Amino acid sequence: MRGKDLIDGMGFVDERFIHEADSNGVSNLGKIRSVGTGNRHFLGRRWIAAVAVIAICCTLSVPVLAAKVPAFYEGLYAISPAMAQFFKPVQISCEDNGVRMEVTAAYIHENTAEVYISMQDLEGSRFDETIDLFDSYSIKTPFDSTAHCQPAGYDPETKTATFLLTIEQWNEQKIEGEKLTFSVREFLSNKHKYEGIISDAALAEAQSNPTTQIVEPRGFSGEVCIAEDRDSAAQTGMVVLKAEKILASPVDGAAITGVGYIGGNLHVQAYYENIAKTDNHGFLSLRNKESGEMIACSGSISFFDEECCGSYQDYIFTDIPAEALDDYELYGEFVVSDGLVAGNWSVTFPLKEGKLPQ
Amino acid sequence: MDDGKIIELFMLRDEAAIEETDAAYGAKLHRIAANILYNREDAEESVNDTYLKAWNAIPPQKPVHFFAYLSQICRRIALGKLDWNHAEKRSAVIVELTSEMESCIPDRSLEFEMTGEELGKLLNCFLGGLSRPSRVIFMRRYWYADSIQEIAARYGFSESKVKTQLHRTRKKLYDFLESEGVYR
Repeated sequence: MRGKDLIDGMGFVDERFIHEADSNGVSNLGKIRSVGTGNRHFLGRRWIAAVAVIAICCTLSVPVLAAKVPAFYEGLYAISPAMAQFFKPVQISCEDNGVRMEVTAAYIHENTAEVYISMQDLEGSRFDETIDLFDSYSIKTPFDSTAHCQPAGYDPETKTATFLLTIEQWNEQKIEGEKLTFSVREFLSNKHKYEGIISDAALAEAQSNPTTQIVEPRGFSGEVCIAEDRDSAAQTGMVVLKAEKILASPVDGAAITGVGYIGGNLHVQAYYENIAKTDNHGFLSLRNKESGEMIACSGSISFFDEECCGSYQDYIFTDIPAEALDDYELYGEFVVSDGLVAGNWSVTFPLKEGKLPQ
Repeated sequence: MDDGKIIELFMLRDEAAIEETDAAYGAKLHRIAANILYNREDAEESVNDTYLKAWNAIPPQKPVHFFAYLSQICRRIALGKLDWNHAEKRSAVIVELTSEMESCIPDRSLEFEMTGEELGKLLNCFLGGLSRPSRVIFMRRYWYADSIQEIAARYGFSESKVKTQLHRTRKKLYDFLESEGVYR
């Protein structure tokens, strides 16, 4: 799903919300803001005194709290990103769990900043060119912005991976001099990719009456699944294959655990080990043996195993009758990894061009 | 003319209904369409199409909130005219809004598909749980496509207050979508 879909989805919100936002003028919101402001003269003095005390306390303690207490910084950032970043002390590099993170260079133009950040493995060989920050990074700015991070290179000699952060301020204002915090909690690397025919999984042996189970899905996609009522699916569950044995294991960390027909649709089930720590994932298709035509699944249902650690995924193919299965072979694409490395890396730096001072 | 009387004209199949609707809401509808589209002609066409759809739908429909009803139609028509595949043909406002909304969607490898109607249901739950000021500001930004400056001026807030409020609401939407299993 993309931002466009959310914009489209907004077109289906209840009319009372549209009416409310149209009819709510200054006065109505003003009333909400001014509730409880009776006896303004007396309360005014007390407020001034209270604000003065708070201001003095804040001036003295906020920089220390922002630097030393992550929860305080996070709380302050939720209230005022600009203030949180103002008080956050500059730290160009940091080290944890044998990995050093460092801001290496920045390029600022108008409302956009491009910043290079390196991560060097000081202890072993836990990196390779497949390094991935596993969506565990955060970019905090004092202004509203869109930002993203992408791998920019890997040097095997120094065991250093470089990432490029791109930050764009929304209001087309210059951002040079503003302070930014980039944090990473974990990364994945040493990923292996497998792609090809899974010859061990005999589609022809697909069961017409396989053992099934009803599961609470952790996710589902495709028209064949969306056709089901989403609310009732979440409450009553969805019917999938029950894994009984491993039919094929094309790569460590992923396996085929079932093939059978449910409600006239072909289900092929894959199992991915320890997804929270490996991000193992894949995709199954059918390939016509004669024409080479690839048939993508019409939808899929994924659900956790009993330990809520690994994940099963039923890939559903419609319009493939059992009699025609001999004409097809199973084609898989899998990405598996050795596991993640966790740590606490965070750098805070002012946005200015060139190599930053250490 | 008030909404009740205009709707009465629609019910009686009196073409004056269109003129009265245009007099009452033409400018506001035009603004909604123009905020989404990149040119005036397309915006005008969207407003005219809105009147035609309303004419065909009332009766049997009898809207409770007439402007909300019309603007809902107008917004959908305008979005339908938008060329999503060509950035240069999208208005700067809609590019900005799309990018802001993008940041509300949790990122996972699993692709999740939903229809606009299903998303609308979820968004209704989300909006219903917000405080009124948060909801109104969110709607002004992402439904009416108002700029930060316009919202600030409308409610007498500072721009930074509006930005902070929107930032918090977007964060809440991110958490809400994640709890509902809706991913990018």
